[in-house]
Amino acid sequence: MTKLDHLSESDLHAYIDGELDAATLLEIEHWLAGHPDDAAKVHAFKLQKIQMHQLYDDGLEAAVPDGVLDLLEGDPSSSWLPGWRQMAAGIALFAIGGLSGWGFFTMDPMEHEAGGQFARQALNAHVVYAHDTARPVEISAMYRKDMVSWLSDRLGHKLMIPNIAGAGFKLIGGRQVTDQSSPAALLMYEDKRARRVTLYVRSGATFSDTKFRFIAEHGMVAFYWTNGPLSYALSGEMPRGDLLDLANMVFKDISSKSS
Amino acid sequence: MDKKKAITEELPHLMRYARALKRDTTAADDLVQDCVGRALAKLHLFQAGTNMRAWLFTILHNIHRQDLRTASRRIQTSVMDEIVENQHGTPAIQGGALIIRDLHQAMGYLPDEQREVLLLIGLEDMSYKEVSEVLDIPVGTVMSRLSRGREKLKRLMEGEEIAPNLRSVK
Repeated sequence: MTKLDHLSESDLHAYIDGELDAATLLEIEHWLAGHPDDAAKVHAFKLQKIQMHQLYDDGLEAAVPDGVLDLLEGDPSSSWLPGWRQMAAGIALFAIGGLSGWGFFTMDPMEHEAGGQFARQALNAHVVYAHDTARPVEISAMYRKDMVSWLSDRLGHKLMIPNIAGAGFKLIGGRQVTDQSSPAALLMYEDKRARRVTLYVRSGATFSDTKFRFIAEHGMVAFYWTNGPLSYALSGEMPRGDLLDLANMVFKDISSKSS
Repeated sequence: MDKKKAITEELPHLMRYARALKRDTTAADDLVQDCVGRALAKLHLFQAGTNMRAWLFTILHNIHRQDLRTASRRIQTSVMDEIVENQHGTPAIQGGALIIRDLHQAMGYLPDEQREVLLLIGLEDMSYKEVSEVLDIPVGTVMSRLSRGREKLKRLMEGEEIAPNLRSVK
């Protein structure tokens, strides 16, 4: 057996990953026995592999998205579209019923920026209050009438409380929050699994149309839009398809209550 | 074997890898869905007897690359472009020396190209040659990315302070 005079980086990694023939493997094991620094490195890199499995192996058990199953089971109703296009298609379907239509258009950059700010304010409010176990709302849904009149007063417009009980979400209450320097309202809903969604409402139209916009950040998703004199953002931590269903319910319910 | 069945059997691996790569469940699910969609559309190109996992991972990577390339362009052009996902971002550091001990966080500090190689080898147990095929890079490049990635991850895990040039304030 030839003796190594040094251990190359590539041999060291190849050793860890089982890329070596038996003879080289033996040489390296022999080398490592006499070189604790290199042995420590090998140990650290092997540990990385083990920890990576500990960290990510949950993914092996993760529920396969319905869209993927539909594709593989050859469900003819789900032609293949990339995820976001499928969502666009979903919204377009709804648009036939209520919204002014869906399509590609160049965004007004001012609207785009204002929209992004608005959505982030909403996500910030969601992350702060939806995770507050002690006091997520200022006024409980038990005092709904007081809550509506107070928040409507702060917004300067009548606040409609959408009903999304059909999807299992019950209003738990609301609070006043800030939007830049103006008051805004945050309504909170919860389902039986203790999942919370928040509807952030501020006065003023953010967009000149009623289309849904979507944002996802740090595991939260939100749909946001303008309807009449108010702008809305519905935020939650759930698959975007589920949140879209809720956003559709909110939009329809508020539209019907306002008219 | 039925090709669709072969794809189904690889789903757990695709799901795990997409989650580790994207660091965001929604984005990972979308990536897997796009990957399976494209694989089905190109199924006639798959040669029976070759490696289904490597083929799927190649497709997944091509889509991932496209995502990264179009991410900035989308913002200007359409409503859906408002998708602002922090899926491959480096964790923001608010100044001051930050010591990372957590592997997940540390992985976020690796460049995409190193993270891919580390995951394909460390998690998926691919050979260097398979990785070179999936990523369409020479085996030598696989090995140098692996070596640099592991070294960097080791320094991060050992609590090395992040050098100033790695600070990114979002």
